[in-house]
Amino acid sequence: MENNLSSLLIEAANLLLVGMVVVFMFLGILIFLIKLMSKLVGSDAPAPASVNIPNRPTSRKSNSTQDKKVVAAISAAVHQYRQDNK
Amino acid sequence: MDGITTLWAATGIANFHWQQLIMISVGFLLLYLAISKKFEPLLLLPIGFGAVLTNIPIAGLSDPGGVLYYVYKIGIDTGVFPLLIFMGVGAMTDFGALIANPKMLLLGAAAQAGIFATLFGAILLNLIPGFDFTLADASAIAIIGGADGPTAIFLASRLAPDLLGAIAVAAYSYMALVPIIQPPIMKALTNEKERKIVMEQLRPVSQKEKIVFPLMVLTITLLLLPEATPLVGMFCLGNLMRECGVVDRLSKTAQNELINIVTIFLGLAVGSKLSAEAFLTVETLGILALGAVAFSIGTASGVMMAKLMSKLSGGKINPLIGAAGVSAVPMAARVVNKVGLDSNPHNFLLMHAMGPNVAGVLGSAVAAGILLALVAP
Repeated sequence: MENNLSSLLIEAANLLLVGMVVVFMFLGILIFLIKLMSKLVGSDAPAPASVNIPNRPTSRKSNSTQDKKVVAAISAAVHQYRQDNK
Repeated sequence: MDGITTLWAATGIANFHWQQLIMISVGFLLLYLAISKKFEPLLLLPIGFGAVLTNIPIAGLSDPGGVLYYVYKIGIDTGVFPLLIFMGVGAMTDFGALIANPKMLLLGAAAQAGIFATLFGAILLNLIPGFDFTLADASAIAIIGGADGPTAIFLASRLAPDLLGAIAVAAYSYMALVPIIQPPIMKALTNEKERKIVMEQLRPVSQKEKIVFPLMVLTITLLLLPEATPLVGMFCLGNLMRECGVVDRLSKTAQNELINIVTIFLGLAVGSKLSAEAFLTVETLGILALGAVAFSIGTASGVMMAKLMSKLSGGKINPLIGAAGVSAVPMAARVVNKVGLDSNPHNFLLMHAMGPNVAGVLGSAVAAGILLALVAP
């Protein structure tokens, strides 16, 4: 019984060691693969694109409204200038 | 007069053994915990009811021919139910947080120390008279430390079917007790300054990455650890259905209707294993104690690993998230978030804790595969 127990304990210690090493190795390899995969397929992905697509029209819109304001301001100034110089 | 005697002999009252009465009250206790305390009600309710049904004298619901007997035989003896649950969990899991920060896998690995350390503890218990755990029994008990119900049931059904009832009840009870067990350990191992660390926001993850991820996990599992492919394979199938975007109907079924149906039968089948002769033993007490130890060691080693990573990264990682490395999705991540908020009310760690949390699911499936490969029953 005593002998049996100590052999079981050795086996359990062995499992503890092997188990932790294998778990770390397995997930370590996975870390490496995820990084590799992200480099390969991640960069040209739709996530940044989907950020860009809504951005462009909104920036254009804000540009055009800004343009309108600028145009309005200039034309107002020109109008004022002409009125003053009549 | 003879008729009355015969009828009396056929009543439950005349046939009760006191052990069955105790087990029926255990069943009612589980029902109470599920309904009033909301401890994992989706599972403890069918388990508790199954425990009541299986201990009814004469009816023999768990004897060959009884309904619970067949539910157990079809679903758990074959390993089908836990695997279907795993597919549903896969369909519910978003790996985005992990893909954005793959280092979190190390935390999921570290937390598995609870499993293997408990294996050692279970064998040590044999020193106490009354305990006689084989290595297979010890492995099945140790997996409670993985804090993952379906994995625990799957492994127990393979390695130690006799202990399945106690192991499943212990696994689900401790998962429900995560908010009570984890915070003291987390606070004891970290200081206030570490708990206040704010982490950088995660990058967005593309759909392509999310589709490739489950296929990649499956590939390296089948290459390195085929014993883990039942669990990991079903998990990846569910996750692929979720992320690929073309089978929304299947994905919805896997994460709603199918998992609900299976949960009912899984609970009943586990409950059917709570018969008096199998449950009322010292070994059950040992299993409950070992489960708590497994859980605590897993939490502690996750936090210690996170502390190490925090030091190495120059204080960019909040060590609290290591506690989420024991799966128990998403409860462990919520606990991390809550403990973090206690120290810094503007620090939301939930998304950061989801990474180690889902890594823990993979980690415990891998650990289960290792135990299956190395410990033949």
